[in-house]
Amino acid sequence: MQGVPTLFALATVTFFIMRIAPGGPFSGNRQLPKAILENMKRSFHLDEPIWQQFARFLWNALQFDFGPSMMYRDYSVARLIVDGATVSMEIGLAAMLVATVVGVGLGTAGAVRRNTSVDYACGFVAVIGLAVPIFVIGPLLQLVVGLQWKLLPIAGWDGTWRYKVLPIIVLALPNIGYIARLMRGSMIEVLRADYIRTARAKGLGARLVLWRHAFGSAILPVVAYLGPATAITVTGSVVIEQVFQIPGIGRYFVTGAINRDYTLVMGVTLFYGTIIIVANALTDIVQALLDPRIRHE
Amino acid sequence: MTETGERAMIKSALSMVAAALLVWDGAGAPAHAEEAMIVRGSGDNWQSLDPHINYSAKDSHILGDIYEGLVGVDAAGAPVPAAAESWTVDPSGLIYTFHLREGLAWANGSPIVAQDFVRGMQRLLDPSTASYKAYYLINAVPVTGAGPYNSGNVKEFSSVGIEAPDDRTVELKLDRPNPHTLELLNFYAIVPSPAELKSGDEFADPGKGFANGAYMLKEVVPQSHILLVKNPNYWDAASVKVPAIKYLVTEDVNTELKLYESGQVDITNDVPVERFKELRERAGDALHVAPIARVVFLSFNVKKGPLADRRIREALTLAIDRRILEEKVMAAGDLPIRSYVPPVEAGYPALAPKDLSEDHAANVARAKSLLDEAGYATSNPLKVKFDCFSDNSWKRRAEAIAVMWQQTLGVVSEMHFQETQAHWDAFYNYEWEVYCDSLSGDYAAAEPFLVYRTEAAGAGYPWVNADFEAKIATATAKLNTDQRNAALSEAEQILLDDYVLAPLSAVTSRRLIAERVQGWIDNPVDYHLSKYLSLRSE
Repeated sequence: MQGVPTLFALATVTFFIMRIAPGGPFSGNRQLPKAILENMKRSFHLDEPIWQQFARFLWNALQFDFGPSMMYRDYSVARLIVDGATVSMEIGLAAMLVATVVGVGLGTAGAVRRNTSVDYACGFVAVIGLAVPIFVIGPLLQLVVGLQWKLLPIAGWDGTWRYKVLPIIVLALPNIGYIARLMRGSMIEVLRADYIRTARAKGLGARLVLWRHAFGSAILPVVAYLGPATAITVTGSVVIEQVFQIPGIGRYFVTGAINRDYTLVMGVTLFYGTIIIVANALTDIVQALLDPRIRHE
Repeated sequence: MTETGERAMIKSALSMVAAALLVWDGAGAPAHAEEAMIVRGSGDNWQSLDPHINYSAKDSHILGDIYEGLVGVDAAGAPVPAAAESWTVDPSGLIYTFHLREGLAWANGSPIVAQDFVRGMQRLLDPSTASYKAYYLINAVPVTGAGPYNSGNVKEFSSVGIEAPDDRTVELKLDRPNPHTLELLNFYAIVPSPAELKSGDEFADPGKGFANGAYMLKEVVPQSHILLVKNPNYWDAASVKVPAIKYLVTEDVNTELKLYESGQVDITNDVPVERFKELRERAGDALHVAPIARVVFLSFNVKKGPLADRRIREALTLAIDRRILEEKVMAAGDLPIRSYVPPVEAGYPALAPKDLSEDHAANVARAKSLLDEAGYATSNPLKVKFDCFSDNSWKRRAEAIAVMWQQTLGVVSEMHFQETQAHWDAFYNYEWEVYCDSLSGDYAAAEPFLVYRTEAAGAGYPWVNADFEAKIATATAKLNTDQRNAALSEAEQILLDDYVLAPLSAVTSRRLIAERVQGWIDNPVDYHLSKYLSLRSE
C-alpha cells in the first residue's frame, strides 16, 4: 500500500512532463485541414483543459482503463500492455533464471578456486557479459547462429522455443556478468568469516560448509540485485525486441515517448512503476527470510 | 580444504550451470514456413487495420490487400476498375457515376451493395470517426458538402454529394473538377463499410471477415505479424496466385536484411542505408530503387531575419552541391534534384530555379557575389538559425549542407536538432531561418505538391505570392491534364525563382525482392498489391 502515493507521484509527473514536452501526437500532420485535426484531438479529449484531462486520466486509470493507444488505434493501451508484458515476462524471467543460475555458479566456482584458471575463465565470461553491449552481441549471434550455422531463427516470434533461445541468452549475458562478480566477491568474504572457520573446525565436509553455511549469506547481495534487475528485465528491452522482433512491451517505452503517444506512455509508466514496487517488496521479503539480521522485530 | 572437497564444490557449481542449459530440453520442433507464401517486411508495426483510421503510407500494401474501393490500382500503380466494373464522368467533370460488379460480397459472405460504399465514405467523413484521411474527399476530391459535414457544421449526410441511386450504382458530386479523381479514389481509405460494423477495431478481428479485397485476415499478432489468406469471395479470386501473404514487423532494418538473406523474408520494407552501396553492387536486380512521390528540401523563412533578402536565399540554394550530397554524403539512392516537384509524373517538366545551373563551380561563384552584394564577408559572416530533425539521416544531410555553406560562403550555421514531433511543432514558432522540410504527395503528380503551397492549403508557410496563387487557380480550373500541368509548371517556376526553398532530393523506395517473387513493378505511387505477385516454381 505504501506504493500508492509513489505511483500517484509518478503518474502526475509523467502526465505533465509529456504535455510540457514540445510536439504532440498529431504534430506531424501539417497538411491537415483544421477541422480534421480538431476531430482527431477531440476523439482523444485533447481539446479539454489540461486539469480536466488529468482528472479524466486518474479516474480511468483507477479502473485500469488508459484508453486506446494514439498510435496503434486498433488496441487499448491495457491490451497492448497485457499482450506485450506476457511475452516480455516470459523472456525476462527465463533470462533472469539463466543469469542467476549461471552467474551464481560461475561466481561460486571462481571464489572457491580463486586465482586458478577456473577463476580466470569465469572472470572472462563475466567481463564479456558486462562489457559487450547487447546491441553488439545480439546482431553477432544472429549472424553466426542464425545466418551462418542456421541453427536457430534469426528473428521473429511464433511462441516456440527456437525463437526464444537467442534473445534469452543475450538478455541474460550482462546479468550473468554482474551476478558472477557479485557472487564471487561475496563468497570470498563469507568463506573468510569466523563462523565458516568454526564449521570447518568442527570437521564438516567442504560441500556441506559451502552449501549449508556459506551459500545463504554469500547470495544476499545477489538477491538484493535480483529485485530491481528482474523488474528491468521483465519489462522488456527495446533493443532486444527490435533486433529479434519480439512482440514485447519494451519498445513502447521508447516509441510511445517519441510518438508522443500520451495514453500509451501513461500506461507503460504506471505498469513499470508497479513492477518496480512489487519487485522491491519481494526482494525485502526474500532477504529477510535468508538473513535473520535483516528481519524486523 | 581437501582437493576432493574442492572438486566436489566445483562439480556442484557446474551442475547448476548444466541444469540451466537443460531448461530448454524437450521443447517443440522447428517451425516450417508455408511453401506457397510470400513474406513481406512491413517496417514498424502497422498503425491500424481500420481503413478509415490508418494514415501510414507504408501500410498501404496491407490495407490494399484486404480492402478494395470502387477504383483499384494495377501493378504499375495506375487506376483500374475494381469493385466498380465501369464508370462515367459527365462532361463538366463534376459527376462521377460508378457501376458495381454483380455479386460482390465480404469475406464473411454478406453481400456488398452500393449503400456499403456510401456508408464507408460517410464513416470516413463523420467527425466522430476523426479520420486523418477525410481530406481525400474534402480537398483532394472536392465532394460537395463534405467539408461542412466533416467539421460538424452540417449534421445531415444527405447534404453531401455521395449517394446510391440503386444497389449497384454510386454517384459522387464534386464542387470542382479534378482530373486526378480516379488516382485519389483508388486509395484504401475509400472503401465500403459493413452494415454490421459496431466499432473500428472489428476490422482487426479475423473472425469478422470484414475484407473485400484479394486477401483476408487469418492471424493478427501486434508487433509481430499479420497473416493473410486468399479471400474466396473476392470477385477476381481466380487470378490471385499466391495463397498466403505474411506481413512481418521489421523494426530493425539490419535484422530485416538478415531475414532476407536467410530466405525468411521475400520482400523487404527498406535496406540499411550504410550498406546500400555494397548491396547495389552485390544484390543486382534484386535491389529495387525507384522514385516515389516524396521530396526533401530546405524551407527558408522569408518573413524575418537575413533570409528575408532574396539574394541570400539564392546564394544558400546555389552553394549546395546536390550531387555530392546525395551520391557521396547520403549515398542511399535518393536523387539530387533542382526542382520542388519530384520526377513522378511523365507529362510534367523537370524545372530548376533560373540561376541554378548544372555547373556547380558557376553556382558557387554566383553565390559568393550575391552574398557580397548583400553585405556579408568573412569578417562579417552571415549567421543562420538552422532547425532540423535529430534522426541520423537528416542530421548527416544538414551537417553536410552547413559545411558546404561554411566552406564556400563562410556562413555560420547555428544548428538546432530536435526529435520528429518537436521539430514539426517548431515550424510554427518561425524562430528558424532554415528548416529541414519534406512533403509526400497523395498521388504521383505535380499537383498535390504545388497546391500545398497555396494560402488556402493552410500549411503555414510564411510565403504568399499573388502570381503563384493565380497560376494555381488557373490550373485547377482546367479539366485537361496537359493544360493543367502547363499552368502548374508556371506556378512552380515562380516558387523556385523566389528561392523560398532549396530543393535537395527526390526520395526513392529501396527494397530487396527475392528472385522467386514475380510480378513486381516499381511505381511512383509505391502501391504494390499482393494480388499481382506470383511465385516462380522452383
